Amino acid sequence: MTDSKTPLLDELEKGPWPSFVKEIKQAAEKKPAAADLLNQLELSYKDRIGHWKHGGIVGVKGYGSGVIGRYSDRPDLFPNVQAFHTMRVNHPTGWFYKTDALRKLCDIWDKHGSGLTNLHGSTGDAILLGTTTEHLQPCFDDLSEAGFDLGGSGSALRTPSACVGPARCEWACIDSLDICYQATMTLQDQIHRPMFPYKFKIKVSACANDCVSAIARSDLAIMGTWKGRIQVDPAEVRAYADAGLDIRGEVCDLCPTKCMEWSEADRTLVIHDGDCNRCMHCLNVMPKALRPGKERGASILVGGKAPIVQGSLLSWVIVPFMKLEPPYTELFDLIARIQDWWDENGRSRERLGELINRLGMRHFLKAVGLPAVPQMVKHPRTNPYVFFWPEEIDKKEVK
Amino acid sequence: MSAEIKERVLAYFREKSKGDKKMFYIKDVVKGLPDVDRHAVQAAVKELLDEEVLKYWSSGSTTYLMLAENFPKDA
Repeated sequence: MTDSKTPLLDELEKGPWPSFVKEIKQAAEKKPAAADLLNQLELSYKDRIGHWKHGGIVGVKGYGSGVIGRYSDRPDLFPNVQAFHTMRVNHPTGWFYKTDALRKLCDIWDKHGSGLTNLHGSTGDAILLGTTTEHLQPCFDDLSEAGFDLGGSGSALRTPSACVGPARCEWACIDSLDICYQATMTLQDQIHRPMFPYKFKIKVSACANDCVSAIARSDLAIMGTWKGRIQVDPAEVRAYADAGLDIRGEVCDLCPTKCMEWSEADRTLVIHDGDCNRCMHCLNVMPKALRPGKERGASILVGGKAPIVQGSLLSWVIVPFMKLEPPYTELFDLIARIQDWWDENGRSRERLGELINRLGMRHFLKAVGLPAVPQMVKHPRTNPYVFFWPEEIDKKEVK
Repeated sequence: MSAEIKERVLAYFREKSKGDKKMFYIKDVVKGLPDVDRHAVQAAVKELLDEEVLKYWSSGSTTYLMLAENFPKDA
């Protein structure tokens, strides 16, 4: 028999992986709030029900987001987590920290909060778990002094996030870090002053490998890509073949558009670039032999979301190729038109993708001033219908 | 910013808050003033938030607006 107060949670310390229970126990040695968090969680496991009340306070002075109110529904048993608010801190773009910045962040949280963090939440922010209402403003003041700001929460633009991009990745077709940083700075009011029907997420992936899951997780995805021919180094292609790579089986046959041919006889790879959808499978398999084309830019996609309220959606293309260079005027103008249409037409708690599904893509395209292009077709050859606007029909011909 | 629009926004909150419901989506407020431009309503709401006449209330995923006097004391 164990005399532990948390026998159910103790099970989660077993096994080879790091355990959040172990981390909370360590924090509990210094912080009573962490101890009560642990005990309340044990009660939740025992009762099979959450013991948090959520909602209420939203932030610090001048802000309408960045703080998520959390309260225990058993403050009689766990007084140290009566208020246990979460603070979302806008992460550095690409999640690059200097060690002294991380130390500052942790020191501030040791001073004002439970000492528990979640680096990083799915929004991207640095999540600081558990503080009291009285500590919110002083904590924010200290964070500001250290160069940090709160991120987005509620019906606001959530903190934009980006992959590491050109800082560390050879595949980067756009400067995802700069685009994300500029979006964050340009759209500050939308992050801190919620006025949208619901949340809106912007994510930037510098290539189609999509390391920040922009397609699945963002209302507006900016995806690095290229125009023109994939750059091929024939000698390196042959070197892969000599090293035993089955180019036909592992590259050509797995190409989703079957745009590649491998000739075993003359050991050459032929790419029909016109059929390529730039999925990057071949580039990932043969990185020394194949490179993205020279003309780089981004595809813009909209409508992705996780399954809250309605089901999950993947984004779809609305701009196949946009040249993205500072100050990104074309991009920000497009974002403004998209958000304005959604803000005007969206129901409360309706995401952009759901609104497009409800009203139709042609209404969306007309409102934001984009032409319909073949790359927008989600399922080729499944919809034989062509729709016209009434004004497009020549009345004389119809007659 | 038109003082008249702010007054009308405030009147909307006071009228609608007489019942049990105290929290409203921004879209409710816009719908409540159909003859006023949506952006003007939002600007008026922001000013009232700055003046702390209105307050945000958030569940974490969704944000509501309410009169400051109705904001829960324990939140």
